[in-house]
Amino acid sequence: MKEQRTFWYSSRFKIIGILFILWGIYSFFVKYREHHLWDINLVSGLLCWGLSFILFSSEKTDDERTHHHKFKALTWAVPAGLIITHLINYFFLSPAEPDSGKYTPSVSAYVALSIVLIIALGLFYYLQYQDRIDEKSA
Amino acid sequence: MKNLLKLERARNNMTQAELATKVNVSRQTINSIEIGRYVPSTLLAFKIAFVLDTKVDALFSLEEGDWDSVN
Repeated sequence: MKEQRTFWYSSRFKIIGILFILWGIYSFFVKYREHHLWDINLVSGLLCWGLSFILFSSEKTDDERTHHHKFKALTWAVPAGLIITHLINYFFLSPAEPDSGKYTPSVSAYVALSIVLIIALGLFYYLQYQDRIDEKSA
Repeated sequence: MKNLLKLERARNNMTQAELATKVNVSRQTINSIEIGRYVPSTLLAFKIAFVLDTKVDALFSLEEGDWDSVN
């Protein structure tokens, strides 16, 4: 019985992910310095690429427990990210009244996805850390 | 789900790291299974049983609570 490969790219792609994030942060500060613009979409677009490469590349020791942790992290991160996105929209973007004849404002897809990926990645490493703690206490 | 992994591993004079290498998972995964924090897939359960020269149902057994709970 041949096991299917779950994650398409190797752990080396994490470095590419980090480079994308650094590129995003650098571009953000350059744009702010030159044009005095807080371009959140620019940084979050590159953040999405970077975080996707980090989260969805295989780990050094990649097994079903790791896949279980990633799945668990995503099942928490998606609803949590959705709630945070809604709260940002509600409190910071002054939503239009349903019958006002205006579009309902929302943060960009890049920002929403970045929030989800940041939570998922943080939770994944927390679950991995918990395993190491359990191992030491066992 | 109960398991006798620790016992069977000791019977085979094998460390967690050695068993992990043989079944191609991390040592943390073997530890998580031993302490009952993680239930392995069917494939991994068969691999572990094969390496420890035993049967899956001798290694893993259902508990009362397994019928009404999902991990």
